[in-house]
Amino acid sequence: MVNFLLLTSLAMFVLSLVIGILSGFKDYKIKSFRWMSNFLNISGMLALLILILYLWITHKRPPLQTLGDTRLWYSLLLTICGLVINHQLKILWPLWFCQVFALLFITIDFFNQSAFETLLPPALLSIYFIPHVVVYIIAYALLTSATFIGAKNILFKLKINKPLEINENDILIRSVDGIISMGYAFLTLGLLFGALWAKQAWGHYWTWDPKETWAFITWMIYLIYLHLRYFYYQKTKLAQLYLLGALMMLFICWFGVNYLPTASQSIHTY
Amino acid sequence: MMKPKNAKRNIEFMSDGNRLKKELSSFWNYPFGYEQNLLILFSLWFVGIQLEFLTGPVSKNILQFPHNFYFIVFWHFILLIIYFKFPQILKTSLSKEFIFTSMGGLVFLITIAGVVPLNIVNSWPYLFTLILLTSTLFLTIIKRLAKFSPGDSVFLLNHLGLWVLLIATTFGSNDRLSLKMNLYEGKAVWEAYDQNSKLYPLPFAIYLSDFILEEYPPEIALFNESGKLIIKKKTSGKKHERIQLKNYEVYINEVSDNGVYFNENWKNAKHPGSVWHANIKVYDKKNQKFQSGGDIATGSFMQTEQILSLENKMMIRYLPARPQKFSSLVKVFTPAQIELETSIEVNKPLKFDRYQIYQHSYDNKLGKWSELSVLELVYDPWIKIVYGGMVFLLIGTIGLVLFPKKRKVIHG
Repeated sequence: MVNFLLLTSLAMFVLSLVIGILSGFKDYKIKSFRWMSNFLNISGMLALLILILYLWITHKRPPLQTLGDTRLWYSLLLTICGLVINHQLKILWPLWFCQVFALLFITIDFFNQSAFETLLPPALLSIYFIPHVVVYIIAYALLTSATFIGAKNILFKLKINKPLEINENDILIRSVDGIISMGYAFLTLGLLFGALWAKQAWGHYWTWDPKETWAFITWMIYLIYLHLRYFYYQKTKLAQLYLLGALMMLFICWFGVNYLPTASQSIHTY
Repeated sequence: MMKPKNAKRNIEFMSDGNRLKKELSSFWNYPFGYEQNLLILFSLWFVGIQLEFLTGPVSKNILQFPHNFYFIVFWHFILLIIYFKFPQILKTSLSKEFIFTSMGGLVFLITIAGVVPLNIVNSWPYLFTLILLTSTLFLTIIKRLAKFSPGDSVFLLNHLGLWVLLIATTFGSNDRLSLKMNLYEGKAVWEAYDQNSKLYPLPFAIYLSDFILEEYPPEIALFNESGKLIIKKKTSGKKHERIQLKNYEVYINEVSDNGVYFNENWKNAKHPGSVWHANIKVYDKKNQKFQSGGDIATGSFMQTEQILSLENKMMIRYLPARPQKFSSLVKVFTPAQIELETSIEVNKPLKFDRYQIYQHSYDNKLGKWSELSVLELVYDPWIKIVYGGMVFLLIGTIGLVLFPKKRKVIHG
């Protein structure tokens, strides 16, 4: 069942990506291609959703504990973000990036299925467990997809559809900032829920555990971004480059921290 | 690094008219650019590192009540003097260059702490950087408050929340008292001890009626000949279960959570040190051919673990059972004859007197047979201020999304 659902979502996203790119190159003339791409994308998302529910029911715990679990949620939320951006802003490349990332993470999950086979330790039995993790993954997905919107100007200068008008570019930049501040808000919620939970479980809201340290670094980095946009509004290229760097730091916080020398001290890495 | 605009501006201004050569040669001209701010930061770090060698890391004791309180008042009094009397310094510490330098400096230091296991967050350079950042935060808040408009509410909530949090967590957490209490079943204890084993008499006693530990049924695992874990699966702890382990199918014939190995036989007995035991049959997954059968069991302080070896030297093991939930049934007494009977559990602390009382640990070697329960008692006088800061930040950050700042987009 797990294999089947993972493979289904992989296949759907690959097909959706290929057809989506084809429709993009053809100047949106083949409408049926776009419909098909969206339909396949939603099917892939449904497969992930069913997988999450299946794991939740069969393992009798919310699948929010291991990196494998978080990769599933992240892939699902990221493709949702890509789809919403696609729909709202009428641009395609963020969805492609989102799909490529989702494909990468689902593939890792496919080869690490033991990540779903874990037991919930007593410290995780808390009302904060689900909100803390879900809010963080929403933040990760929002911040990643916003970075993808801006990344196009840096990573490749293909003019896939009609050249963007100046006004359109402004809208894009404003959307990036909007999504980032939403992501930042979720990051704050996650950090605060985490602190409240830590107080309840361990008796202290902050212990500078490496995972917490990185959560704070990430939070500060996006805080600096908000100030960057306030004080240097005209420097959009700098902002987009900054977001790419910030995303790296976010990934260190999420899973990179496990490979750092400090990881051995952590009781919070998963 | 970015070139400060103002430096250019200065030169233009000078070549325009007044030609103050003296100013050109002087580095410390207002307004400061990134060079000057970075130099201030690095000097502070340099001094901090010297202090680190002279006095060691920032000691907890020097920042305890009332000294931390006096320090905060004195420091902000100076900031207010700067606000009202020294406009140039105020302007400098509210400049974007100063803000980015102090934020960046703080992130840089914490990132080091995140990569290498160094105690940066208790170091002098960190403290100095935090003071820089919190100072500019405070001055920003005062400036906005002075010409308050309702449109600034979100801004103020965010900045006030962060200011409160940074100050209360940095300077308040030293007043936090964390004590441990070793309770044995059937005994009452009137005192607790801190990190340095200093004893603290308590105004109440805690009596441990029972320590209860519930376990998950152990995971079953396949190991190769060199002892490497190939795959592990959860079990239900019920008999007649079939579990797939790679190329094998394991059939659980019998299972018990209180197995005792006695006279070369497995029996069930609620005896201290009894273990999870299962009688299993192993089949080839493809052709259902019988491979091997026998007993597996987890180990305890009384019994050694039992492993089932297969023909090709692969092994099937029960992994040590993991705790699902542990709790202490306690009675709390005071001299005034108050009595309270309750259960303390991970994530469910008890509030009593001025303490939050947490289930901390137990005797790991004895596991569910442990008669020792360690409780942690925490008194944190600043916690309400911290919660206040959190609420401000929480509302502020939601406001950020709901009421985004409208900015005029300048074309061209």
